[in-house]
Amino acid sequence: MDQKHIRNFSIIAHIDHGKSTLADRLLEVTGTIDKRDMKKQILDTMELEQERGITIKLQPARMMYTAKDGEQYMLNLIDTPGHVDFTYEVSRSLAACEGALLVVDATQGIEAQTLANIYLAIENDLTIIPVINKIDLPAAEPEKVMKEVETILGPSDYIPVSAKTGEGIFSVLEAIVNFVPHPKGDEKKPLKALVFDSYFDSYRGVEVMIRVVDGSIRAGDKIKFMQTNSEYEITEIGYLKPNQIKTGFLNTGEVGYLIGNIKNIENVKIGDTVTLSGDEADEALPGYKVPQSMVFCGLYPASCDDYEDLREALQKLKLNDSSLRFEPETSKALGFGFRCGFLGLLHMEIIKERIEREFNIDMIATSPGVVYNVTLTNGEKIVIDNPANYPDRGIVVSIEEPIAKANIILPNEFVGAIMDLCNKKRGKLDHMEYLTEERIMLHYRLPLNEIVVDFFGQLKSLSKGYASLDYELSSYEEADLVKVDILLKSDLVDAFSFICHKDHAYYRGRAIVKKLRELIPRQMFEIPVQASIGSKIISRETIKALRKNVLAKCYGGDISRKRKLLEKQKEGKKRMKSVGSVDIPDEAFMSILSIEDEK
Amino acid sequence: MVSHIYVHIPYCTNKCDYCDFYSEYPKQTVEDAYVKAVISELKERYGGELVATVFFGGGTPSLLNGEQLKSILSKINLAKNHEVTIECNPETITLEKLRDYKAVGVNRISIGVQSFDDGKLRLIGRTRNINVMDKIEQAITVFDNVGIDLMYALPTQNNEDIVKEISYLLPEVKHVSYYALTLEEGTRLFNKMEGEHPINDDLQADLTEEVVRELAVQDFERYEISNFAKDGYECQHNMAYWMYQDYLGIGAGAVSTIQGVRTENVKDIRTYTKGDRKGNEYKLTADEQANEKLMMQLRTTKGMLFEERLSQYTEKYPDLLCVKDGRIIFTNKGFLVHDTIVSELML
Repeated sequence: MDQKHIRNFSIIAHIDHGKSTLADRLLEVTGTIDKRDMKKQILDTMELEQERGITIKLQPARMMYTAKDGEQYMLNLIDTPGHVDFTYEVSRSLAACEGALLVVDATQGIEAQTLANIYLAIENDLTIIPVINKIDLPAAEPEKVMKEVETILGPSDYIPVSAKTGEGIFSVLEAIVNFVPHPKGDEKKPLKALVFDSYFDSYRGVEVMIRVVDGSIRAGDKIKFMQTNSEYEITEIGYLKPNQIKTGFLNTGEVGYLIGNIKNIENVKIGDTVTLSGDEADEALPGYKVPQSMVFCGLYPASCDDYEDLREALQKLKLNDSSLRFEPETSKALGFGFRCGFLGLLHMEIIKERIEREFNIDMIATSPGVVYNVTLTNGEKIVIDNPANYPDRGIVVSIEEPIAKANIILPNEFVGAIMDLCNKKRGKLDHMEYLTEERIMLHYRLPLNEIVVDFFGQLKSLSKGYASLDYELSSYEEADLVKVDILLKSDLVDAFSFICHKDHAYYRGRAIVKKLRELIPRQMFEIPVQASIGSKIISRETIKALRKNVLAKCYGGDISRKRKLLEKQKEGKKRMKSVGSVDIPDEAFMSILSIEDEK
Repeated sequence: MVSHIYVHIPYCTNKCDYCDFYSEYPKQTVEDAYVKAVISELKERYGGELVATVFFGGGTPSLLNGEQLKSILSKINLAKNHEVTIECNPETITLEKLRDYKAVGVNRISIGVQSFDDGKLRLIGRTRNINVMDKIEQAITVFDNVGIDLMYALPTQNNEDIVKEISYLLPEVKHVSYYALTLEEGTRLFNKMEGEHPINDDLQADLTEEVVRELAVQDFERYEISNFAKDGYECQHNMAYWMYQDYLGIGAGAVSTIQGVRTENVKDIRTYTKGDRKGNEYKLTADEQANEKLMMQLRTTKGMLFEERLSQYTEKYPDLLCVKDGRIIFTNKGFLVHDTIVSELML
């Protein structure tokens, strides 16, 4: 199709604001798919996404629409990953579009994560069309919601719709045709296509989602990924409806998939440019980046027998998620496991949950941490992503920590509580603005290591669930940071070590020591539990030796039950991790994750 | 071939708040139909071999009258030096009944006093004992081998209370079972205490030490975690359990272990009386048997035969375990943490 009749667009929305329903209506009224097949599309997503408040990422879909002007248009919906940790991937998906529908619930207003995506869309020069959804609900206040939208976009028109009843859907289609610019690629230039997504299929290899920018591409072409310099021959090419429809070619401005017997997903980077071998484009498309891991933690199998299974699970997850990093690591307390790097907290949570749910592996995750830049006395600069590798204090000249730019949107009644929280977390308020009379946006600079430790949970509980957060890495800054170690019976338990600001070291150390005293069962000897900075003990508790644990009666009728009880105790003890002679239950390692700050 | 028979009498006049044994209540007598069913089970499962010990437990076996007891005992062939025990609730015994028991072959009685302190009994939901000292004196006049069951770690109990309790033991008493109160899930006491034992573990350890010390003063030697006897008066029947010998359990809810097969009778008097006796039956694996033997034998001061694999533990816990005459035995300090150590020793 000629480019004038192509529209490539995305949908930006918060969870439950109606993105899937709207997309389904669009697919339905354009006759793209049957009602029956649509159900499947909605259901074909992880339950986890629903629970965590992540919007569902829709399959790309091509729709044919005959507009009021009598012409037929090709509308390509390219969705964005639904959560903040994938900012880079979101930006690449948006870069494949010329416009975006901003879907906002008429009863709710804008959320921080939506806002982050709006800014990305603005950065990518997209035309944004506000769509106010759920106008059929009695509580709908489209004008009020639009006020919020206008504080960001400036004065705009909006389309009121009810994706549920179908009201306003044709206006949306007309707006896409009339307001989203058509692609303006050069059909004669050598091929340039943007990779905006990929999937791994165990039979067909990597399926690459592309948007053709210049030139065209067909089956049999030899292609080259310009960043990874890898070459493949296209065995199949086509578009999505959202199921794959083989066409044998994609022209300038079109969106579709290609398959080329690609076994290694490492060679297919989001944001890379596809060109033709032998007829290469001069330069790759702008904007390519290698996403960096921002949050790290150790993942260990609860039972050491599961180590290989855990490795396999991580490998399998990585097939569809090139941003997941992991390498083997050993802990004195936890044995063999993996140091894993994630794009953010949510990414970490999702990977952890998927390993437990889909692969059925019980795991122990160490406290999440961030990457520090450390300068040593000999001038050497090192990068620390694991507190266990933190060098001796004596040779550290300075340490820099990552600072995040955080946006928090919340009703004004919670501003006091949330500002207190941010202050406790060493946040610096940059500025605040009123989205409406009741809703406020706070712009903070917050150390990332404060965000990764129980920030989100507190934010939600202090705001009764109303505050939403978005953050991105902005800079590295020097800070007075120390490593706190935990010792059990004088043995350092590496998995408990953490790096934090000196001012927080005392109460966090104390909180952990107290918690461990509760969680570690009494054993045959006394166990001093200590927190230390270097050789200085900053907190101490004692777990007294076990004195009595015996069943008073055991006669003929009690033997089976009693044996089972003791066998279970033995199993429980076997499952515990031991450091020195001290047995530590799994919950102790987990508990570190939920240590709360001083109230 | 079994040498030890247990007969379960699951009838009680009252249910104590802490009790999780199977029994029917309130009952003032044992139904003849039940006695008949017991006899028919004996006929079916007992081959007439000579038996060293018979133990009537409950429930409240002293709800049996002399005739009923006789009809059961007459079906059992007793070996020389046999021991026939019946557990008695003080409120159910009279001098006459005791004499009847003796006449039909009982030679050892165990009286469930639990506490000489009525206030403590009330706290654990057991009816107070009436004229308990008289009952004990009566038992002593009829039997040489009289044992008393007591409980400690009762709510509010301290070391002085223990000393006082033990002072009530008459010199003629030959045996004391002294059990720490256990909160069993599902009992009224468990719910009343919300699952929290009224006496913390450290205090219980102190009280246990007091019990052992005080009883020793009265010439009672500890031969099992909770059992103390004067020389030669250890309960032979219970020792059979602890030495992990086979036993035949008769009656509703009774358990048998014979050649590695455990049989649990149905815990319902009516079903049992109808003749539907069988509940569960399973073969124990070699490891399970080894673990049970270890667990049971190590409850006693005889301990178990030393095995080389255990030397790591005797070295690790020199103050809890000792080896004497080729047997591994818990020390008094070790008995306090029996469960923890045994679970570690298990296969």
